[in-house]
Amino acid sequence: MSRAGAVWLVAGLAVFALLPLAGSAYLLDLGIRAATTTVLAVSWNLAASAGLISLGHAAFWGVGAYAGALVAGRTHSVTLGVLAGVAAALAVGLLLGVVSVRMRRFYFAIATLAYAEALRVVAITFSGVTGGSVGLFVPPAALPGPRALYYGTLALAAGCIWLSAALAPRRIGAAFLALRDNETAAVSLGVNPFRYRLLALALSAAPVGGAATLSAMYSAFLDPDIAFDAAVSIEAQIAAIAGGVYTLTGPVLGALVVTAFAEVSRQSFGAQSASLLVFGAVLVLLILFLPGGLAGGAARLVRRRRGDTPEPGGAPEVSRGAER
Amino acid sequence: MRPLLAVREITVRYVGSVALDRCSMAVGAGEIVCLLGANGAGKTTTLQAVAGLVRPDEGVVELEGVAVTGRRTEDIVALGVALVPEGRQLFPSMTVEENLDLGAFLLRPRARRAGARARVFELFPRLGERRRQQAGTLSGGEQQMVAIGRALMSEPRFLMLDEPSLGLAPLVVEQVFATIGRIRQQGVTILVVEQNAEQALALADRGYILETGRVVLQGAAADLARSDLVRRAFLGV
Amino acid sequence: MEFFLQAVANGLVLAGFYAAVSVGVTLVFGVARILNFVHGEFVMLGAYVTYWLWALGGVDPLLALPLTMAGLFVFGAVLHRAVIARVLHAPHENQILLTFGLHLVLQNVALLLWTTDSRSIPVAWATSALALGPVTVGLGRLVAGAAGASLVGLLFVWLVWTDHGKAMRAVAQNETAARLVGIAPDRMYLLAFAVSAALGGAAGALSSAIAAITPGMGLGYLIKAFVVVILGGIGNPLATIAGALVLGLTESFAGAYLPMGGTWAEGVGYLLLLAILALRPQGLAGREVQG
Repeated sequence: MSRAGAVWLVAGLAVFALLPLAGSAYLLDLGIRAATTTVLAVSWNLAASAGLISLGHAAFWGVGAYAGALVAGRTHSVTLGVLAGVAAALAVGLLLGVVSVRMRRFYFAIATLAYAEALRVVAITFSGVTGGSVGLFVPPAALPGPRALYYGTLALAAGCIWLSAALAPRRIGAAFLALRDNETAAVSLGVNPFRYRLLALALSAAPVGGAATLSAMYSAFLDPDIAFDAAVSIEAQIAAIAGGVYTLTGPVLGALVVTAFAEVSRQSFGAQSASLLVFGAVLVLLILFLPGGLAGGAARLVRRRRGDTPEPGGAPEVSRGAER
Repeated sequence: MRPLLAVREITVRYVGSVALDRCSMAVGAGEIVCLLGANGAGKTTTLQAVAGLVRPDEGVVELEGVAVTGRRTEDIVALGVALVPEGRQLFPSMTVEENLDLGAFLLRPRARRAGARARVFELFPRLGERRRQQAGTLSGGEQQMVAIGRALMSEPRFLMLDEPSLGLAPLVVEQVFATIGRIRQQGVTILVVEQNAEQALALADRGYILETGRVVLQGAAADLARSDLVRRAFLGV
Repeated sequence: MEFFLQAVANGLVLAGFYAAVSVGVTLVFGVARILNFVHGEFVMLGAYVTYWLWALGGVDPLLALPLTMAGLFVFGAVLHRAVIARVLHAPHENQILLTFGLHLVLQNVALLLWTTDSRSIPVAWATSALALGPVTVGLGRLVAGAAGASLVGLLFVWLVWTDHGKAMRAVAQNETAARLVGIAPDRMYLLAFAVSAALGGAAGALSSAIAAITPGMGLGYLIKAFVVVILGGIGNPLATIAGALVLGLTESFAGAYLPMGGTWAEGVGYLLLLAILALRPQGLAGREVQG
């Protein structure tokens, strides 16, 4: 991360840390949602930067939420709950990663979709543990106040951003980039695709579990549809892409924009499905017209497939001889 | 007399290299013209540019005076052009007959297809024997026959062939070149790219020699066969 | 023994239905090399169109089938022209995210228009059962399975015997060669997409005999389609039949023989998918695929 970027980030965090002092419950609520979306966006972006397009991040969210809520409910400790959430998401990330990171991009995307749905069905079925479709209430004794939740989520967000920034200039970050752009070249340079991708997925899953636990405590209620809501994945993707996928500041910017946008649309439209509709439409429009996002870093998304020279706008031209 | 094909100053650039550098050539109606040169000289690129598989960065390709530069392949083919590409490019899971029939995709009315097929089988009797065999299972020579036959199914007035002798046994090569001569007799104009300079020059009326994307020599085939350049470079003399 | 045969019969009927649900995905992938995450919505829209034709016009679902297919054909063509065609040469990430975004849009439009209420079409003939020797099959399911299988059969006939069908196979096998014989790949992509929408829509219409109609049903069918297509080998329509048979029979047997059968029957698809993706992504019959 550049000097300027680091300064902005610290300044931004300082500003956000001071938010609760404004005394407004509404702002605090907005802040929690912004921080949560930031965790999601930065985490999703981390996986994407290694070439893993996950359509099923909701899987990690749901598992983290249930594990965290259940542990916090039993132990009455927020910290233990969050740790459980992170651990559960990490474990699921590793488990599913072992099975799926070797797959090619399309297949990986399908697999992520499948296991998010599968976990949702599992949550409904094993109602003894999860409360099934009826849901689960988090016991009041386990609930921290909104301020604590806010700072917790903010800390997670800061941690994620730091992680991304720390990895980028190092060997791991370079390995991710190589894997994303040209796997054959990466392998010939000694990068083990399986290990690095697994690492990327696990690192992408863990923070999401923590954020999910905190979110579950915030709303004090959990059921399979909420926990494994596809909207989780969508928000992560849109935030990351709108802000500028594969960049460091992009997902953060995007998360802020998406939260603001979601708030506005919630007030204008009310129904959640309207918001999702708008999100979907925004995603489509972004991919069509602004795949580089606001931070504009995604040279790969803008460049055409087949190794053509980079070209802005992505308008297709007459094919250059090569057969598909 | 306006040529059937006129290529004027075409330049084709790829990332980091120039495949064709202000190339010009012409093919008159009823002629056989050959394009010779070493690997990488730009011969295939020339054919691809004419067929619309590659868009020239500069220059013009004209078919009977009409500019077709940059048009899509499927549109150029509709004007009566056919290309037998490098590597044959068959439909491997389809039978010989299906491959040929697809060659007549643009042929109207459909009734003419049977006649076209009969002519191809007359030219290549072996294909008639193997008509229901999957194209991917044929020998190299037979595949080449299918490729040429498919190109002929559209009853083109201009036929381009990219290294038709590549990978074929000498006997088969002679057969192929004899066939090309017969095709010309049916009134088709032909542009053939070849590494086998001897056979090509024996067959053609005129020729062009390409070197690193430029035309370095051109003229009547007989003159080219006698020239020092050609004899040293291609005929091993 | 009878129990076993019953499970087989149910499995076969399901297989016919699943084949119709899924074949569109493999068609589009084979021809245009894009994995269509909106496919489930074609099924959903087909179901709703059939429902509204019945609810508002009193049209029997079977008779409505050609109308539904025609409507979805046009929809698929328009969607392709307006949106999909723009990402056909974009990186895979863009394609995945775009079609996924579309899936969201369509699903929520349906949700807004028609609410979460589930609907069904209680046609008289669908509820009666037919006894075929030792097994009994619900007539509605039987029709869904048979009609589904017939539609897939018709697709094959079209692909093998008609000029446009052959042209489509040509583009799938070798696009350069296809262009050299005068076939415009763009038109074939459009046709493949529209046909797959029509078939998906038909499956949706048939689904009314098997399950309730909800706006969210698309995702489930999308995943089932992926299971079938990948099991068999993507890009290969004939292999789709094999995949449909495996899924249909597995679900039927799981439902019949396992405790808590119903839930397992649903979940078995996911397990199969993850297993096949991990172990043999090219499927039973397929060849290696890029992307």
